[in-house]
Amino acid sequence: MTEATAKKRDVSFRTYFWKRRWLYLMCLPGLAFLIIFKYIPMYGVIMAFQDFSFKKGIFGSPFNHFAHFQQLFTSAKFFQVFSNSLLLSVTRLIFSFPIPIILALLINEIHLKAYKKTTQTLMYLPHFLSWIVLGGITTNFLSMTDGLINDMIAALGGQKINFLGSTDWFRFVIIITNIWKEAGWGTIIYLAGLSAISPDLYEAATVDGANRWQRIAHVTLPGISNTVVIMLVLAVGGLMNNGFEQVYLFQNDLNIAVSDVFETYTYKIGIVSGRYSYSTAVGLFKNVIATALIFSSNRIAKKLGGATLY
Amino acid sequence: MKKFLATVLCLAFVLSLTTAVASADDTVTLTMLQRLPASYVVEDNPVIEAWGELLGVKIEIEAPPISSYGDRRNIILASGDLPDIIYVGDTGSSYAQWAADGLFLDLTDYLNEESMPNAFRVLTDLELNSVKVAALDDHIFSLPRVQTKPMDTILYRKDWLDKLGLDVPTTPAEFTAVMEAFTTQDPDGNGVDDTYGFAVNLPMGAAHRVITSAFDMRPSEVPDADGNYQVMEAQEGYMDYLDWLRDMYMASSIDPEFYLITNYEDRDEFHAGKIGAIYANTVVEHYITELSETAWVDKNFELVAGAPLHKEGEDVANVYYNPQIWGNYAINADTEHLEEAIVFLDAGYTDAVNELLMFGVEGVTYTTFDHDGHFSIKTDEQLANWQKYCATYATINYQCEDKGLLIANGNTEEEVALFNEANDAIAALTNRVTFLSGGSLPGVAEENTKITDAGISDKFGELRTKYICGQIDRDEMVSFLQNEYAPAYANLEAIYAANDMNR
Repeated sequence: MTEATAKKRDVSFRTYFWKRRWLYLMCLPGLAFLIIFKYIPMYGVIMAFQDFSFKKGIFGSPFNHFAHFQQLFTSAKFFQVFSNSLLLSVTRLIFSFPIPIILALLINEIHLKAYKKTTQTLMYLPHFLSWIVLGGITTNFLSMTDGLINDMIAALGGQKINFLGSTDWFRFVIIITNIWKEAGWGTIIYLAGLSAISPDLYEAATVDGANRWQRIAHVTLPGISNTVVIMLVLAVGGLMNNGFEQVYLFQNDLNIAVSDVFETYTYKIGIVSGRYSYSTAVGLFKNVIATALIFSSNRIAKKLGGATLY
Repeated sequence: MKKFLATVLCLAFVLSLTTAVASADDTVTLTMLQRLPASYVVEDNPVIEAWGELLGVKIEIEAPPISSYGDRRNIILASGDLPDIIYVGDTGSSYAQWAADGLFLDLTDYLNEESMPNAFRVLTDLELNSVKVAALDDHIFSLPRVQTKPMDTILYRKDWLDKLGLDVPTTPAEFTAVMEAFTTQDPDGNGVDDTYGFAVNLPMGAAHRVITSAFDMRPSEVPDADGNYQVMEAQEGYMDYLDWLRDMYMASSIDPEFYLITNYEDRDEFHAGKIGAIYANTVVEHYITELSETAWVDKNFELVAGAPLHKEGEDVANVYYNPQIWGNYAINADTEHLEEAIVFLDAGYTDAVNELLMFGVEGVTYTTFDHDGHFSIKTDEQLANWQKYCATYATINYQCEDKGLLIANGNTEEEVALFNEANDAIAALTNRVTFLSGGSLPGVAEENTKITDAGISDKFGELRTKYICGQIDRDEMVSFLQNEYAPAYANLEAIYAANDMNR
């Protein structure tokens, strides 16, 4: 490369950067948040390989190599937690993932603007309620003594169901409440994708004689397929995450056999029992699995010719 | 010009952030991590200010939410940024580990007539045993908050008992009958079948002393007459206790969703008039202080304090108590104000400090204070202030220097008389049996970890609740206790035996 070419490139990069300086400035807080709260704390992961001492701190505590991982993989409790986490998140993925897509398609078919906006707003609202509030509402609804749902079942001649104290119903309660809270919010990204589909395609389909369902199948769904694939890749990558608050609120002695997941397990052994090194090892294991999942799902998406995360 | 002005203003701003402001006040500030109830107000608290003035220091208190105090304490201990004084609230294996890690000041050499005369005078050897760390040559790394507390009680709705013509129960059989009556005979008279006897509070009172006193059960650290140690849940009386709870559950005398209780929700149910008895950590003083909350729902209520249940054929309940230790306070090993911290902690064993923390400031939280009777007279406004600025949780030592009660509960002389009468009546029916807990013995932490990692604790909790709810049969419960639970605790029992605990 000649000096003139290099100089020309340098000038063009500076010009490029200067022209977009306000955009880069706008990115700074987000970038700072990412670096400070997500990347810098990563050094704490070495606790998983240490016998952590409060006094000596992270950099002074002795290494015990893989002792915690040995303890982890020989622990009966760990395998129960692992299977609970996997089962709950796979079930949640299967049932919860399509709901925002379906809702987005339905909202997209509403032509009355005011009605559409009102519906969207009402659907977003549960997202802003904390799990404490939603958990309390759900507990009251599903209570065996004076819950609305069980009162209705009894009034119709049925037997009351112990939704909150049963291993059979725990996953159902988690998935339903999760859909209630997050499905509306999840429609946002799909609605954004839907708004990017050219109206000409719909006109052309209509001219060709396509009915509403055929337009959805042949225009709408292909139009958001890239978005769906990317969201699916992200969802598969988050397969090991079940969320702490929701599960913890609904967990009790009667459903502990299926409700103890990684998040509640690491809370109990880490924060409550003070076994920080061991709980870091559990968390590290979980995150390694999650990373492997996100890489594999992205690779599969690439091979299938769809959009990918990277 | 604009650029010059902007530059000058920016520099001024940066300078103002970095310039240290010299303080004219040289008073030492002691920081404290304290476990306080939600009703306690730390900001602008005149009692805390008076406390600081008494000791010549400023006191800054961090009070995390009481329900998650342990979590916050653990995080602060792990962070390395400890306050000067810490309410540890643990004398078990975690405490021993923190002491071994060098987080807490070794107080062994300070606990003498010169350095800590008040604590040295007030605390007995038995009480100090609870804070000695056996693995560190029995050195002392915190001081216990010893409590002379009113008698533990089971609190009942007296108006319900009177309406149904029942007496306060004293045995398990009588208790069962009363709970059944509370459930089936509409004690609140509203014509709706919406009341229960009580709720089993597993987190706070799974095997509470006021109930288990009626069964052949003793703490795991206490040997039988032949000197043999056995984990409590494998003792003969434990299944009798579970059977008793199960029978009441099947008769619908217990709140059917008791397993959803995570803290003291049974008290909320009691105040709301849903259950007629509460037992978890209820002392005679609650006979008086609980008045206000129950009155919000039912102005015609009345309460009565009942003694711990005793066995059939006996007159008194034998109730196992640890030396009455309610938590412990430690000093940060790296504190920059060692002398002040020592004086602060030592002063906590004087009547002057504890009465201040318990009764407050004259004119603000009381009108008059009867030092001998240990009660204060308050106006309504002072009562409201007292509830904000004072708390039993705030005390360093919850007893007088002469080991007597720090506070006789009540806001009027009549209420104090009522409290004393109830306390004396319960005391006459209770035999307190003191025992030492083995939580800080070497090896206990490791054994507990093995038991937790094997999933035994969680499985026990699950099966116990299922058994009470009638979801599994007796054979399955007994088989688990004998074949999995007891063997898992065998090493722990061996440690107690090797240390001759409570012989």
